[in-house]
Amino acid sequence: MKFASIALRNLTRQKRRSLLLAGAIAVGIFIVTLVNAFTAGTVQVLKENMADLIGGHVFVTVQHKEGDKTIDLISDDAKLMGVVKSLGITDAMLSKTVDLSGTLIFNGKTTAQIMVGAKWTPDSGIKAKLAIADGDFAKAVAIPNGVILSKKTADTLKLQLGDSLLLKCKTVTGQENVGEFVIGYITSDTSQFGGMVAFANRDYINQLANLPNLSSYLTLRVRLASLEEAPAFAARLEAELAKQYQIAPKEASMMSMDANVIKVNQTSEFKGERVKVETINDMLSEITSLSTGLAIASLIMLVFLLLITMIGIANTFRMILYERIQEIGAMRALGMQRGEVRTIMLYEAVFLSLLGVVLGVALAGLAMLGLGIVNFGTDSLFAILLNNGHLSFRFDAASMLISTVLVVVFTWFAALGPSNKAARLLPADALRTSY
Amino acid sequence: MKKIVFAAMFAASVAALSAQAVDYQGILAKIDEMANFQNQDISMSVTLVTDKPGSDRSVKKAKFFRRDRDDAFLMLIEQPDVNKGEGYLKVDDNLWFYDPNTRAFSHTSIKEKFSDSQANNDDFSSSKMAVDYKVVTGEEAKLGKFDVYVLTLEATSDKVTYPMEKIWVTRDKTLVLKTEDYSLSKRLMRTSLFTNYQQINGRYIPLTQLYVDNLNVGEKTQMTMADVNIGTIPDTVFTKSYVERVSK
Repeated sequence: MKFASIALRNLTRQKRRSLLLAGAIAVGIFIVTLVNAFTAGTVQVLKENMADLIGGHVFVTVQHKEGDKTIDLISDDAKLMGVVKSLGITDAMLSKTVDLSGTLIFNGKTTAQIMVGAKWTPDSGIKAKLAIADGDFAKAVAIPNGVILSKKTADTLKLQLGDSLLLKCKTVTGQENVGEFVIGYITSDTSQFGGMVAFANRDYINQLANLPNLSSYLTLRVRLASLEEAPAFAARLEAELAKQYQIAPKEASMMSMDANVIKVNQTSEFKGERVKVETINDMLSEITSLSTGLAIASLIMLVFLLLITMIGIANTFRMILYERIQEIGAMRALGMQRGEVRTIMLYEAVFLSLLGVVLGVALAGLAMLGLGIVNFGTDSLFAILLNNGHLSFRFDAASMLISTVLVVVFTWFAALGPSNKAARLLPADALRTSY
Repeated sequence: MKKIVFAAMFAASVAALSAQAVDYQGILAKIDEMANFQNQDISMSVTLVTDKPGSDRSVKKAKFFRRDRDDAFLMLIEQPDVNKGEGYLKVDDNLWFYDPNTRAFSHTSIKEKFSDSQANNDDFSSSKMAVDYKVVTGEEAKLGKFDVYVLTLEATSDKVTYPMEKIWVTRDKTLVLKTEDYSLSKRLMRTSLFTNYQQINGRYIPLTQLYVDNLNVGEKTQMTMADVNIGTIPDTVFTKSYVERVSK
């Protein structure tokens, strides 16, 4: 302990120099912490926004082979629901969806849209999801071919309540179809995000998709308590389903939201039917990989910055050695051992690096606070990456620990040379020398 | 005696009427026969001019090769520069799109639109109307100065793009002059006009085709064929490696 306190005292003897050195380390830590926190936060927000948009965390589809085509369709779900409910999932956590991707057409204007089929009764769950008043919602669902869309879409197509518009889409087997809708309600959502999705009567959507019967649907969506539960639940579900179904292998991300309902699978052949279980993480696997890549890149950048900083630290400790050479000689003459001289200098290096880490993290924290206050609005294309218009940061303890260890190790090595030289000094020579 | 004469006259009338009843399904088979080249390959230059309200006119030029006996075709876009090298290769039921920028093939659908135009990918395939459709109703009519049959068709499977079509076919040479394509909900989606037929080796090719979008008013594509050649195209033309090689 006494060496640590001596090292601390030594650092405070030249405050400006110590702060400058710590500052150099802090710059690297600041950049790495900010980049990692931004990446992790943005990916998390993206996943949560996608889960909200798509309406779930885990998605189950049943693929059927018909000739050379693979068609997603769930007609008889008794077996499937039995398995899902055996894992503790309630009806409130489930939604059976038919989503049609298509083009809305009105008065010569068009916009791409995902039409989500929803229960079209006054007690439907989408009323709360879209925050629509009871009266307005009841009026909307009274129209059998009514549609609820966002203000963003309505403004794009210059629509008003009661207007009729067309949806050009494809059936589940890829044939052309056109539906006619009447605007039942326009939500106040002006985000790009909200402009992608509209809601309509599931029975009508089923008809447009040409599903075999009204109880058929395309995807079973499971909404869990949190995003973090998704991978473990999906693994359990897949294991249980494997007892009764073939399981489809994982494929590339579906993030593109293909305009076709039919998905042609040329990469893996099968016969009959099989079940596919995916999570939001699977759908956004490319984003997650990008995030991991960015974290690695920032770590590599930190290493380069540290290498440059270590040159300065090594030179500074050489200077410290020459400044204190007589002091070291005196300590050695009074009985301090070589190892103890080295220990004190290395302690100084470690404390310096930890000071740099603390400064860097503090600066990054301030930057995150400041950037997090800025409201970029919900209208931009990047709204899906924002949390209600704000940037999101997520502090990752694991990467912080790795960065800290790297900084400490590099600084320790930078100071090792001068420390060894100081330790090898003969007391008499040291006392005689002056610079 | 009168009864016998009346019965004979009635039978003769029925026979005569039967002889005159039109074999509408046979007309579909005839359309296919007139449009397809079973033992020969066909190549031509194609120009697509697409108009969309609010956008500049798009002009694309391509080289087209077709082999009906293998149900294969290749469309290689030559102009504009931004699309140069893009290719659509169909063999049997597989259709691939080649992007020269990524140098990768992606599987696409015969039911998709061709290169952001009003033509569909399957408009370039050999004609299989007799297999893909059945005649629901047929009647005689006039289309301009032409005497035509108007046939209402229903798809026999979900492999075709449009579940329902209406076609105007000349009575003399069984040439399709006009088609109306309908969605599953029986809404008119596209109107196509075929003119300027050229006879080659006993077959007919419409050198001018106009596709009009009935949902997006103002959107249309005119396709003009030129330099039509009939002969034998090397087998290698209908391969991915050929597409990659010529797209460099």
